[in-house]
Amino acid sequence: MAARGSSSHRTRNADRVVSLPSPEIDDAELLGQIAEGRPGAFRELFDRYAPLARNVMVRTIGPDADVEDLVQESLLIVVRRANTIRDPSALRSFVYSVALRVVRNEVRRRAIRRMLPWSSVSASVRAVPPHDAVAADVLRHVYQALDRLSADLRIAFVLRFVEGHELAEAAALAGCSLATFKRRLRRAQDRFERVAAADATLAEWKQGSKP
Amino acid sequence: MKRDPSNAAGEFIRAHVSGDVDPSAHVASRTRFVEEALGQRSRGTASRRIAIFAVLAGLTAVLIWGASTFRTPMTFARGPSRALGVVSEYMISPSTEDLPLYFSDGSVVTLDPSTRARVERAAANGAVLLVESGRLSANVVHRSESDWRFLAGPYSVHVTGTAFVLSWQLAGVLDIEMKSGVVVVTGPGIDSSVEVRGHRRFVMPGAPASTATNAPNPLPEAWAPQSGSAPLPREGLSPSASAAKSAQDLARTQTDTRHAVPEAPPNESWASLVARGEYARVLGLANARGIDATLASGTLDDLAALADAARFSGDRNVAERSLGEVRSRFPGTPRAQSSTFLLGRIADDAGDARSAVSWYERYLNEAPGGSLAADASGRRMLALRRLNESEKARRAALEYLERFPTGPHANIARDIVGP
Repeated sequence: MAARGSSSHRTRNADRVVSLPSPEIDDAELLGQIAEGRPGAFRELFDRYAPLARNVMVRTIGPDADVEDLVQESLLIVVRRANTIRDPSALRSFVYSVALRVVRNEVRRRAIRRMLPWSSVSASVRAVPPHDAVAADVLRHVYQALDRLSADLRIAFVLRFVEGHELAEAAALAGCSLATFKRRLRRAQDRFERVAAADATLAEWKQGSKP
Repeated sequence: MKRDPSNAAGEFIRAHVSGDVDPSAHVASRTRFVEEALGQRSRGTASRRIAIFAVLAGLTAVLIWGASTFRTPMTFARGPSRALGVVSEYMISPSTEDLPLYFSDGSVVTLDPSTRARVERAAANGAVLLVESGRLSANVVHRSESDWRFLAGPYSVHVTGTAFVLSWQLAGVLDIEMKSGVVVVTGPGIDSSVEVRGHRRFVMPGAPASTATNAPNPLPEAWAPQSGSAPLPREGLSPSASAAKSAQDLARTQTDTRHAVPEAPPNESWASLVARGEYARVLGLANARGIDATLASGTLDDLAALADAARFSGDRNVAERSLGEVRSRFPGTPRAQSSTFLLGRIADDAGDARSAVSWYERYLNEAPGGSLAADASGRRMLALRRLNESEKARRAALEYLERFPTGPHANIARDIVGP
């Protein structure tokens, strides 16, 4: 830590102490401050990347009550691994990949719990539905259909059809080769469309008529 | 026209599902995250220390280094009763009296009424205190190896042996009044660091340029604002009596300005103000309207924002009343449910573990699948432990691990359950 500063430091310190705007720091600087454990850096990380993580969670598992817990879990992992991120400028991608891993694990956990007779997990979509009751109903059925996909297939489906990533980018985010991703995507699409065809609500919606 | 089902589903999800949340919910979630992140960091540091000690314990050659490095961390006692303090546990001083913290090295930190803080870390040669909001007086015993830090928002105040008064408000103003010794402050807006020595005052940020523009400048030339900037006490300069008085006048002006009833911002919701940390402003607006009138006829959004502003400002009374009104006037809504949880948090922060358990249990009954269920479950477990109800705490920990095996309280839950 710097002790007594030079006169230029004193001048710069005095000049800069004015109605402070929110300091704009880049991701590299932010990671450094996180590694130092500054509470302000944790705040900034949350403000900057909680919306990204939230979007990943909520679009993969639906507007569910556990979304915020999963967001917290993802960003806490980022904090724990702040010192290990090789490319600080890729923080956004790192947050995205951590969020994907967390939601993938959650999807797997729920799939196991659904198999247990005493489990309380039923439908994924439980909270904060759209104000349009019809849309809410369709959404519920969409996520019930997605519940029929394995975690990897569901991630592939969301990355491509919901988030709209190009194949190569989606494969990188999913952490697999392009060939593997394409295989998963094909299987995800086949299974989803089979389930949707057997679902009366989705079949009607697919044809463009209201249920 | 027939649509591709997968693409249609993707479009539909994009159109109807987003991660947008209410600003007050984001702020509440952020507060929880920062607490967890700081707690995680503290636990991580302790784990590293224990691991290193285990490796070196058997080596004769390193006993001297080990003895110097791993002296017993200092402890602290809180309040007149000298109850043993707990590192990382949040403390909020009563609204009508100070809360002194007595450290084993002889240092004393006294929290002013309604101050929120915690001892983040305690080492042999110092401690780290996190000040969430409020004011404290510190008398840190000086030793050659003393190393204390006070964290206030984004600012870090490094202390080696000093007496000072520190005030940190959630609106973002750090105010340090030195009695003796020296502190070094780092943080946004400070190039590298700033030393503040005895009988000096440091305010960060300084007087807003808009308030200094038209008012006569009460400060001597050395402290005159340059190009609209506010003055900063310069290291090494001894203030004259007039400068000291002028600084006090300026600080009083700042205080008066802060406490004046603010103008209602045009078309800006209270929730937006809370999201920006302007809690005092929201409280001022509510007071101008009348608290009772606001509670009786305010909208759900305004009541929720008022509750947050009061909670983050340490105004327990208004916070509890606001949350109570949300529950009674808007029963069954998600906000009413989260209000139940927040009433538990307020009781928890005030040290009323019994009431906290009751509110958390009520939340879990009203909203078992609610977005705060994990937090309520974890905090209920911790409150039961504080009440020394070990069997209930253990059952609560088992319930928590079954529902939230990777939740933020999972490690503590495993500790409670034991082997």
